[in-house]
Amino acid sequence: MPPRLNVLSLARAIPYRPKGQAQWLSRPAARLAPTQTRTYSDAKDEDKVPAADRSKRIDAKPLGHVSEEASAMADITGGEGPDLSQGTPVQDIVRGDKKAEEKLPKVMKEQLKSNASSAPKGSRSYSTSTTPIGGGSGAFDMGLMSMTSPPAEAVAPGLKFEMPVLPLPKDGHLKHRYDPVVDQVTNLLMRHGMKSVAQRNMALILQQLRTASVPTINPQRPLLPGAPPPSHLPLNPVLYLTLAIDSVSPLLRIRNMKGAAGGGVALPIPVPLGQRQRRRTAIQWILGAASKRKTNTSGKTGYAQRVASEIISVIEGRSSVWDRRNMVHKAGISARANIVLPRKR
Amino acid sequence: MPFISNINFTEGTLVKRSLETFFGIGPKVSQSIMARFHIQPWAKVGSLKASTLLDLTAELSNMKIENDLRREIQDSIIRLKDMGSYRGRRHAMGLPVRGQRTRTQIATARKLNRTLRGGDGRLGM
Amino acid sequence: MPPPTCLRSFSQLSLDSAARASMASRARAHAQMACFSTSAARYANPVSKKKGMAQTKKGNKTLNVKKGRNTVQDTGKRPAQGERKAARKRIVLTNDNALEVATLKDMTKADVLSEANQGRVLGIPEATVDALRAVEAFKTTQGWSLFRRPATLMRKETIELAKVMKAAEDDKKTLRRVLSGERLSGKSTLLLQGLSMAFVRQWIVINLPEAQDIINAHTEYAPLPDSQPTQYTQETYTASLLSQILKANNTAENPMLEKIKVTTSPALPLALPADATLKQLIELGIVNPEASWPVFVALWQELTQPGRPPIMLAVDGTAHMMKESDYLNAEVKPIHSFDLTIIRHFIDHLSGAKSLPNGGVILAATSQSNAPSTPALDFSVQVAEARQVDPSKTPRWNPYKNIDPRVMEALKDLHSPTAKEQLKPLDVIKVGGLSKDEARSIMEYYAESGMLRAKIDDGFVTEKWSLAGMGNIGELERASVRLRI
Repeated sequence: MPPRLNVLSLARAIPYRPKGQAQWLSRPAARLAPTQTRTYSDAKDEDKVPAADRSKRIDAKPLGHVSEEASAMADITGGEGPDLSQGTPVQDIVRGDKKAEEKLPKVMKEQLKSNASSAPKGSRSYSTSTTPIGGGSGAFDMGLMSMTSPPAEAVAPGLKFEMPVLPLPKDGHLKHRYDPVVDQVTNLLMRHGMKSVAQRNMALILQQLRTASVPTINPQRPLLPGAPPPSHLPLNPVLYLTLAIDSVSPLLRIRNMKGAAGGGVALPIPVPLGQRQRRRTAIQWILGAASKRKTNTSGKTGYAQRVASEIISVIEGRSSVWDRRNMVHKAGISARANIVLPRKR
Repeated sequence: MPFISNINFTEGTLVKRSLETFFGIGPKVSQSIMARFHIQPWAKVGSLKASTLLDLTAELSNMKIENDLRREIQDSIIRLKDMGSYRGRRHAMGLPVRGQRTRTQIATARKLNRTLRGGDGRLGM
Repeated sequence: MPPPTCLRSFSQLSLDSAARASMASRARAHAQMACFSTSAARYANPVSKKKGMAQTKKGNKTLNVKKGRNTVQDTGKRPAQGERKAARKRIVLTNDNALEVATLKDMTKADVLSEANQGRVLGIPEATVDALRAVEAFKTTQGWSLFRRPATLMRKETIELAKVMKAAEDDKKTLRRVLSGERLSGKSTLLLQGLSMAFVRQWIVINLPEAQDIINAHTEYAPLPDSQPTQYTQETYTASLLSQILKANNTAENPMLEKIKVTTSPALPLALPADATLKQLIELGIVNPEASWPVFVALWQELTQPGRPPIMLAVDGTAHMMKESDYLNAEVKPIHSFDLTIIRHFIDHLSGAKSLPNGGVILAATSQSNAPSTPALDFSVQVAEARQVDPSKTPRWNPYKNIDPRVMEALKDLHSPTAKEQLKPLDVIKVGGLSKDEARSIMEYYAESGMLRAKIDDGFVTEKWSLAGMGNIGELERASVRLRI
């Protein structure tokens, strides 16, 4: 009987460094066993297979090709091996074998040669850039290359890509990258589909709000509860705009049901508005009031200046939009009996 | 109120426009007059110096404009008519002179082609 | 008058089901006292149309009471003449809502030209701001109105210009520079920085704010007598230029022109009082526009006497003056810009025909957004820029392009220089993009002013820098401050 080798005392040193506790696999013992002896041999097997037959021994079996060896190595070292379901490229098989490489087709030989050289084919040593830094007199600063590459994070097991970093950026989604109020106002400013003109006007309105003097709140026209003090508003023009719109937006609209009041008279029914609907109504009122203002200046900035003045007058309580809103609310209160709620089943 | 050739012009009017109100001065002639006296194209009559106004008056008096020009035009037409020429007869009849079609499109000819062509003239010129 | 029970139910009216149920029961309990009953309206006879009014049939014209209600009433009141133009051209330099940046240091005479300023944002002192306003150096398209006070970033090109100015001041040399670069790269602002550095160092500054205004034939012109070939003066423009020179260089803090006395005895059409100062000389030219050109010539002679401070001559929109002007001569032919005396004066100094005995800098900024096609200037600038990168590879001129020979002659030092020294007498400063550090520096200033509400870290700086096409400062400002989405 062949002597059993002690697994713990290995003659051959295996050159690998384990990555971590998680990488330890559950079957190192079987792999670490040297292959010269049949440690699994039994009396039963010996009867069936004669001792001179070496065909079942591991060293007699043909070596797997490169991919199988690589995947076995990967199992040992704990890395990720190649995908065995896909075929092995020819270059990998003949790598290192000079005689076989000489017999490769010409295209593959050229590819190997170019891979050996440093720069890939067709690349330039300089970069084309729109604006050369330093006026082009100095060396081209490839600013894009000076970025430090992010450190390679360990991907958690079971994940193909990294986990997202929360919170997600507000402008991450292409269609929701602008502030909702700003986006809505821009679209309502737009005429004849000229979005860039609307965006320009929007930028001018926000700039006006930034440079205008701090507004004084009228206690008769209270703004939205929880609003910041007026001195904070000019530095945050988007908040300024949102506060104006949300403060003056009506909560409901009056729907006239034709002939329902009897005698041909329409029955007014108050209908609640959602947030976007409320804002839309308020913005339409503000833009309408702005277009009726007089302008003493000339040039492209006139309309934007008038809209900005209107927003400031809304915050200060001087605008006629407040009266419109109060009228709608009053009408709603007087018609509140006509609300028909669906019966709960 | 500045005077050019005894005609009064408002101070705010352009020199070019004022010159072109004279019968016989159009865009090219006014441009050449203004270039000769170094007046810029957008000058107003009120900005001109008195000496420039006098120079302009002198220049205009040397040119054939207004009544002189009208008389010359009328004389030519009368000459054609008295000769008994085709062109004279067409002027007298108020029809196109230069061989245009007469089936249609004769409104301008009817209006303009007369023996007394060029209008009544300007008072004071 | 509604019955009392009705009032009570009015006050207790609510929409939740519990209350409604109780309301219903209460309604049943009270006898039929329907408060908001529609019975009356329903049972009434149908409303007939008034007999007097015409029946609205198709084709009948009826009174439109809503016509003209939604339009703005034109009261006929117009703003005063010139008010609209003034409002359009108004320069606003302060924003009271912007935060005061405590770490902002001003330019001082001692260190404005030092190289240690690179990458820093420096404020412009108040006296200099007034002087810059007087010479119309600020433009309405620039973003000065968003910040507390005007401040500029001392970028690489500014330090280069400062070095040029230092050399001109120390060695009494006349150095000429053309500022070129792509659109929004900061050429006019670099010119403004040059002017402000000159004001801080107490040089004499003469600025032609827009070359287009000189050649577009909007001002009076007259031939200069005894000039061969005929040159043309522009009296009103020269008079306004003299008043700008006086206002900018004779400030309350530094009344330079009041202190200098007239030493040469100039031949003027009007008599100058004896022992006159330069201020009195200039005022003579302002009050009498017909004498403005001789006064300017006399002023220049005075300023080029030994012992006077260095001079900074600047112009914006150079391309306009490198072609024919819109004026016509007596033969109804266009007058070349170089035959206008003001421009000839500038070009003589730019080309090197005349130099400044006390040293100085001549700056000519180009504009990409407002420029006629001038192949001669474009070619000269292109050659000079290429020479800075690689002296052996300069572009050849295109023989099929109609190039103005006078302009080529004037700019010959730019496209075919013969000088070999380090600081060439006529050269181009190409204004490129900002580096990442400069971009970071200016964005920190924006954030400290409260105009940019974001955390300035590497990722943010790189993002805005890339969006600005590798650091174009105008685009960077638009992307970060102008909210121009």
